[in-house]
Amino acid sequence: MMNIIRVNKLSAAALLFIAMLLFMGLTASWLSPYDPFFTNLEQKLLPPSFSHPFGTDYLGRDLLSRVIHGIGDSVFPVFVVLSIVMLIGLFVGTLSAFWGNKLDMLLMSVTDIFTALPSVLLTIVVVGFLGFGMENVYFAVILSWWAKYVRLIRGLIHDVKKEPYIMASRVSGSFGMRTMIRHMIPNIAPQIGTILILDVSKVILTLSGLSFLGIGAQPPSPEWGVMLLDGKNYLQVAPWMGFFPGLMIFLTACSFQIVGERLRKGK
Amino acid sequence: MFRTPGCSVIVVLILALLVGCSQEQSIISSKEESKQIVVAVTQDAEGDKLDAATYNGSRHTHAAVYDALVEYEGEGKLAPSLAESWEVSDDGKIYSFHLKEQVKFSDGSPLNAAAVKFSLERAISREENATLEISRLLKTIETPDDSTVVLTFKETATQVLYELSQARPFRIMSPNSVTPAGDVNGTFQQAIGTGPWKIGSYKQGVETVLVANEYYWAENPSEYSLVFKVITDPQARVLALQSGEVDLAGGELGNVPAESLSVFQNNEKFVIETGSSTMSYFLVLNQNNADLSEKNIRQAINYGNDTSKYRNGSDETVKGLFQQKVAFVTDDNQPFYSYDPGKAKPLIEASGYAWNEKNHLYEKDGRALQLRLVIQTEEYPEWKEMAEIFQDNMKQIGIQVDIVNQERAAYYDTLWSSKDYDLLMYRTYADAQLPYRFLSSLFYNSSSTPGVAFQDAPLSDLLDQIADTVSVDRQQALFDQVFLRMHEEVMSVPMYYTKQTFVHKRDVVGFAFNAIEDNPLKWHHLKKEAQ
Amino acid sequence: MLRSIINRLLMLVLMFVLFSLFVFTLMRLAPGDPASMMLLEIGGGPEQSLVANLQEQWGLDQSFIQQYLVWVFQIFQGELGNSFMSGEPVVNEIMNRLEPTFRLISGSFLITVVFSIPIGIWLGLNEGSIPDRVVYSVTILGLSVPLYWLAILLMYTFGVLWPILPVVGSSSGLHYVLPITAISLVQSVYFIRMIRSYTIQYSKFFYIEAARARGLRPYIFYPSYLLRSMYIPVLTLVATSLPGFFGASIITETIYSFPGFSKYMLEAIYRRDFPVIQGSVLLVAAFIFVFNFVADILYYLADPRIHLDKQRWEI
Repeated sequence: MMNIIRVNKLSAAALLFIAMLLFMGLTASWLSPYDPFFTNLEQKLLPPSFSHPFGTDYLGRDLLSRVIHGIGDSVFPVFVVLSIVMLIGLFVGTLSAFWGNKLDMLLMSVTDIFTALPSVLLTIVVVGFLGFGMENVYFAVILSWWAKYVRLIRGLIHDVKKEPYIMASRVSGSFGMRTMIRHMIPNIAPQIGTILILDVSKVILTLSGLSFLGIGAQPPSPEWGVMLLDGKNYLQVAPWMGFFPGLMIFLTACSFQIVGERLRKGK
Repeated sequence: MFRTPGCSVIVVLILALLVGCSQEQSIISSKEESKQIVVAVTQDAEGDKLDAATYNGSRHTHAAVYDALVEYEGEGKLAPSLAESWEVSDDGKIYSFHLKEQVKFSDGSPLNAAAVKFSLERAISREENATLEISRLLKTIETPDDSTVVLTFKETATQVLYELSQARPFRIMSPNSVTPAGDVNGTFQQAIGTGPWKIGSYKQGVETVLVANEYYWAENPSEYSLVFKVITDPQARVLALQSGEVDLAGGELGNVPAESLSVFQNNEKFVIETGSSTMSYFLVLNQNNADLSEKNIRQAINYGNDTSKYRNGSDETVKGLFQQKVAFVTDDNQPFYSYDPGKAKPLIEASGYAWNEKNHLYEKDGRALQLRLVIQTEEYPEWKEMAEIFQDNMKQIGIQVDIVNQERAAYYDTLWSSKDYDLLMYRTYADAQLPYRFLSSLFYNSSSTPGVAFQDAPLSDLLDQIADTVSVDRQQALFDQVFLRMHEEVMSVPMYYTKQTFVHKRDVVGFAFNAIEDNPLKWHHLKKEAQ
Repeated sequence: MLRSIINRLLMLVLMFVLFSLFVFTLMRLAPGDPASMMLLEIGGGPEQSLVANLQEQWGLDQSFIQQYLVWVFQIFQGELGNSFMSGEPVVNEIMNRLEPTFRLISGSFLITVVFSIPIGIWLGLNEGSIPDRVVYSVTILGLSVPLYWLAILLMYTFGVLWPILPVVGSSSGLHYVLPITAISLVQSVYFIRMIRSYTIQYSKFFYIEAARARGLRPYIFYPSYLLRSMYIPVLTLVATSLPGFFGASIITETIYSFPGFSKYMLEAIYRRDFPVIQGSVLLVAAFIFVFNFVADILYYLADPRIHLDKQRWEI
């Protein structure tokens, strides 16, 4: 009994955190105590204190304000990237699962090719070819991620296809793609949800890894991954520079996990 | 629970193995370490391919193994090296060098005119050197006797001595380095030079061990061996210094990031050494941008650029594109725009831009004054911070700067071919390549190849004249005009003067800088002393 | 069965051709020119005459189709061309660097599998217990820490704060400890989570419940029932993780200055050394494709219901 209450409290806290995150992301300009881009070299690398709860970075910018402003650049794109990847996965995955053989084989070979290609190469080419701008960066991430989701969803639908209730609906005469989807999507949703949630932090980190290559978010953007990357160089001098963005990524990932777990169990 | 005992057994085994290995390791290394000085470098020295005529490996390894005929001393001055003395004819077409006697290569064979002829001819024969002045203009190499070499050029050649002093490709290599020996197009076998070091052993991608050249002619050879250890990540170099795996790191060859220097400051185990450099960072301006084609705007950017803020502001004040120590730069021949934001705004307004109170930017015809600054952080990680400070400086005078950080190859493509930038951060060359070689490759404009960094016909004329002038005084007068022209037309935004910073362990003594950055340290002076 | 295997092999070849064409096209779409990059190393600007000269020498002035055909022709002769930068045959260059990378990847692969499978199963069986919660949150932490941070932290901890391990290079077995730990930690986080959820899912099946109800002893129950039933998803997980290990080795080798193949490939990408990139990417793909192929055969051996003439992804 105690256990259930604790879990509920935990998931309530997680939900609250996500809500707060979204709220803060939308109202960042009002909420943040300082201008996240205001540089003041006299105040650089200050440790966390009362006036700067998260400390300041190498240009004297307030890290708390930057972290808050970073929500918009770090968390929101994750939703966009993941939903697009999921939609592609659903579309191509179902297509592949339903029209078996030739098309299936072709589509799956294509996904094999994309998984075998180093994503560094793919991203450099996409961003280099299409030019800069975050939308191209997101496109590059989607391009190197979609194959995984197609494979996953295709596999899930294949499993579900053999389930008795789908058989039953077939026997009772519903053959159309639309009906099939209506029956199937709800059944595979939880599994997709689990993977999506698992990938929330992965997308943030992928975007950070791209900045590592000089491709991702451009300075002075307070994207968390970029801040984490900057923090790496200050590990011994100003550890808070990497710690707080890292903590935010962790808490965000954590909250999504907990809520996700809760949703799965609540079924 | 069923597997846990198994797991712990594995863990214990692995740990035992590690401890065993580590003990064995430390015994071996402590013996070797005492006679080695380990230096962290970013680039593989390619000790097996270190042909003096090529660009294989790193510059500082070339300079450690091979000597040049003449040595660059800084500020445009040259000193004897393998050539004891030299004469240049008045028309600048005939150069005669008199070689030092009693100099031997590291295999014991003597240095003679034939070896010099071989080395120069080998370098000239290579296609990638075709644009160097010596390759372009050389007519003949004569060796009237064993210690005299006479170079005859088709036209007046003014850069010969500077090119000879470079780390490559004109340093002197023994004819025995190739098979068949002495064949200009022969296959490279091993690096045999007259420098203080020779290649001891080489492990690809790991390290090159240099051992003392016992025949070294100028000073006593070192008692130590020098290990150039490849460490690619800047943070890893810092940690390797701290963990004691390397004795020395820094400079251009293995830069210690500025943000980590405070780790070594006031630290009894380490010493920080700072030496001068001739390189500067600057912004290339794209004239084809409508805003930047206006001289006023270019001036305003210079006035609004507070150079004292870059890198802690602790360094030398930026006074013009070139550092004071660059050849032909004198105290007063390089005018510059000092930081004065008050002057910037009237200039912008004079060009017809209006202040927009809403976004605090200047605008013209409803278009905000907005510029794209391209940088790269792979080779120059500090540019990111500098770009951000510059961005802030420009915001103060109502110009919006958007930073675009590009991957290295894409960045160079932007600079050389696509020209898709408004502002681009770049660096000058260094030492003997300054200022002429640098100016001619970036600011020289001809009908077939437009100038890379700026297109200005009078400047190109001046550079043409310099190429035909032998007299140093006349060259000086021309360079005065060049610097003035560059200032008047505002051809760049000077940003920062670099310096060389090295960190070494306190037990390493005898640290001394050399005159050129390609050969930064007197490696053979380094010793280890018990503290 | 032989016929199916031959069919699959043909399919593999076709995919390889498609893949090579794809990589070849991508290379030529990327911004940046190998000739200019090479001339930059020399320390000056890329003069047009030199660039043209190099491009001619490397065959880059030919049409796209010509270049591709020349390359494919080379492959059939067992060559991958010469590196633009060093002039050496790509095959040799790659072979020289393969060994440390192979040790790195196989080492971390083994450690990941050996540790995370039992841990994952144990957590799955004890879902909701305190250790489960603790390990579960550690795995979330693991998912939130980028590999480059973890690598630096390990170096700092075991090289500086508590100096017991070397931090750079690959010259002794000891040098492998930190890089392998970094990769294994990051990868096993994912493994543990997946295996944990498989265990939860599969232990709810009727035949597992039935076996449990019969009161089978653990040493019969786990290997012969639970593990047997989870064999296929676990095999899929292991088989599809190879690209992940390879990606991790790129970052790890760069940070630990490992003279390996992955770092070499990244450098080649930076320098636009086309033959090296093409050659290495092809090699990686070959590895992955062959790995998949072997996994297919293992599927068949594991579960006779699976027919080899069906595609792997139909399982």
